[in-house]
This record gives sequence, structure tokens and C-alpha cells, in this order.
Amino acid sequence: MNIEHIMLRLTIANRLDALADVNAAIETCSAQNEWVMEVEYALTLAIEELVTNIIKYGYDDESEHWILIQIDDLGTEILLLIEDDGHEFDPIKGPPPAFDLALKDRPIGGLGLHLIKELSKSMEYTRENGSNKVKVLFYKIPPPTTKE
Amino acid sequence: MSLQIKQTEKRPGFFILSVIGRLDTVTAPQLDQKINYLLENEAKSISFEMSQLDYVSSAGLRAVLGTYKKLKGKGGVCSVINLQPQVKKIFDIANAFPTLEIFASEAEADDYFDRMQKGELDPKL
Repeated sequence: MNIEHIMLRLTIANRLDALADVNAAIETCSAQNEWVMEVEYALTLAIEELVTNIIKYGYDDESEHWILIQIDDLGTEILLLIEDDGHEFDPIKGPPPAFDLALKDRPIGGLGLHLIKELSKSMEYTRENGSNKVKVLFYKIPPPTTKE
Repeated sequence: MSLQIKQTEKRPGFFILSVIGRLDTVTAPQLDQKINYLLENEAKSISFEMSQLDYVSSAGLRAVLGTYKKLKGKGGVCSVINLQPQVKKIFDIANAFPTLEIFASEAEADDYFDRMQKGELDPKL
């Protein structure tokens, strides 16, 4: 993968209130790079869902951990990388939401990851040196939606 | 941008909540708190008016779908009104509409609840 340049690189503590800083940084990054609204939305959502999962389920201890968020410009695509040192978790293998069940019986977990999969081009997970690395690829100009 | 909630009681037990700003991991508990308060106070119907809601994530969806479940358990109804396209897309992906009532305007929702109260139609089950 050829990284043309890094648009955003941010390290946050594993606290939900850090998401406000992340949102502000994405807004600035979006304006600087003239992202279309759908792209800004998709990236904001992917980061919120992944980071929330890491903060809620990634750690057992009380100590502070750091989560890296990086966004790279690949020309026609945008690459999001999120790296954390929490428990091993592959979001791609996460359970898909149970659409066949009636809404009242449906377990809602897995919904966030389903949203990311639908809003992105592809997703990749690796576990390296005790860290989770999730890469999500987005089109810079999203193709017309076919998932109606 | 955070979340702002404006509440209107159209008739006893029938609430419209205008949700303004962002409905996400950080702000959804604010809405949950409001919903729980209304349910304790005999809400029969809650409509989320979303014309000024710019962003929703899975946490926001959970708050809305959770309201649907809680209301349905008490024989009430839950609906969403006037969604912005980017927000509607998220509800669509989550496949929320076969069960959740959706209206284009407050007037349309009002008319529906009026007919429902008169027994002219059954809420979706």
C-alpha cells in the first residue's frame, strides 16, 4: 500500500470523553482535505464504533492505555488505522446482527461493526506484537449506493 | 457539537422529542435518561423528531430501538420523523424500518396517532 501522506495521527487515552477531541480533529481534517460529507460521516462513525469497543471491552485493568488513530491519503482511497494494546479482538469476525429475528428479540451487539462494513470498502485485522491493528479502507468519492 | 433534547407533549402521554445535534456513544445516555423518565410517567407514544439530528451511531440507534422495545412492551408506539438523508441511511443499514414507524412530518405523525387513538388502525406489531 502506497501511503501518499498522513492526514491525521492522533493518540488518545482509553476514556470515552476523548471522543470529543477525536470528533473535532476529524472535522478539521475533513475541512482541510475537502472530504465529501459521506466520507466524513463514515470515518467519524468507524472511529467512534471501533474506539468505543476498545475502551469498553479491551481492558481489564484500571491503568491508562493509549489508542492510536491514523488516517492516510492513498490517492483515490482513504485508509483508517486504529491500533490498541487491549485484548485480542478481530472485529471482522464479530457477530453479524441477527436481522432474521424480530426486532424485539434481536441482540443489538455487533450493530456498530455492521455499520462500518456497510460504509467502507474493506476491512482488515492483524494482531502484531501484542497489539490489535484494524485497517479500514474508504473510497474518497463513494460509489453510488447499491445497498438499498 | 453535543445533543439537545426538546420535549413537547402533544396530548396526554404522547410525546415528541426533538433530538438536535449528535446522538452517539457520549450523548445517548442523555436520551436514555429522558426516555426512562417519560416511561415512568406513563408515556404511551414517543416520536423522535430528527430534522436537526446531524449524526447517529450504533449507540444512538440502540437508544431509539430500545425505546421502541420498552414502549411496545407497554402497548405503546415509537416513531421517527423527518430524518436527514445521512441519518436515514444508518437506520436503513440497521434494517430498522420494517418495525419502526417513520413519518415525513410532525403533521403526518399527529394524524396517525389521532387515527390510532380513535381505534381506526392498529400499531405495527
